Amino acid sequence: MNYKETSSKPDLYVIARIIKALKEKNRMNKTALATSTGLAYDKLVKYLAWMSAKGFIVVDENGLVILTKDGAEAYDELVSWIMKYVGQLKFPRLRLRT
Amino acid sequence: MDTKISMTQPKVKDDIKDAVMTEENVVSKVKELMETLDHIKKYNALTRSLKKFAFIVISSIVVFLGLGLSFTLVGIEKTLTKPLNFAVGFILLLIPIIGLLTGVLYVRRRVNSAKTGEWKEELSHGFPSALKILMELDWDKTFDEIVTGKISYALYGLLKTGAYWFVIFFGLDIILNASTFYFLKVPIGGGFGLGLFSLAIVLLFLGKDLLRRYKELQALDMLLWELRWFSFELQRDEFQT
Repeated sequence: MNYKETSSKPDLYVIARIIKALKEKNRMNKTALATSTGLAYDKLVKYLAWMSAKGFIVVDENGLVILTKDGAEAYDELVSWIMKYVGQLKFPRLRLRT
Repeated sequence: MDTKISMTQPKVKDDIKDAVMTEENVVSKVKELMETLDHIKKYNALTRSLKKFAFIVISSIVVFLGLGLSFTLVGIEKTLTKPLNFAVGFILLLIPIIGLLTGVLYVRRRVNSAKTGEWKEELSHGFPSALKILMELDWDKTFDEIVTGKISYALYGLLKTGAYWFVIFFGLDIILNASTFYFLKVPIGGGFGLGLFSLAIVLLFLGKDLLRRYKELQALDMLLWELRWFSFELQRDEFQT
């Protein structure tokens, strides 16, 4: 099933959650991945289809989901992208006085 | 936040990759952000309790003035001896003092009961959760909260200072009346000069506090600019895979 059939764009944090789980376990079956990421199976399958089309994952003949080099790199780039902005934030010390 | 995903080449520059950027850094920064936003919740609680605070303080002052005026109009003042009159004045002055204390305690209670740290469980799941928190933040609401919090905090400080001035002014007025009556047998009121003197005393005692409040307002301004920049940049750019 194509991801675009149901939604125009995937949530970045869901993709991050899937990649993180795959990074930790190397390869996982879809049911275990759904449990690990806290996603409904149907939703996970749609995300996996999108990620597979992007070359982030491959599904082997045993149905195990494997993270590709591109997928791991995309995750690192996402971390860097967020850090590029978050890293520059400076928070003043607040102390409300009553 | 509307982060788009497209199929073009990565936009992240090489120099950024070189920097020490780990998932832990992002999580730690988001933690810092959320802690700061928890502080904003406290300002929000102050905003919500400001009306009641103003009502408690102002009504206690109105009751004090009303009772004092009625005593004079009804003529109770004349039936009492001068020392008794001063004693009644002091007892009446307890009304705005209690009003001020009640108001401050009420605000403190509301501020301390503001719910904070609800994001901690979510953030404990690491980078994807930090990302989720960032993407789901309602920036416009946050900015509104900072602005209203700032105004409320300034108003609260002014109201509190005004109430202090009122109590000190009338307290000193009674003391001046009593002392001049004791030494000169004629009670003399303070008037405008005493008003200024009371203000000087208030500023002397609350000077540091007012300065800290001013700095706090500046800090809120700074935070507002930081977060505006952050949300703008994050929404302007798009992550490309």
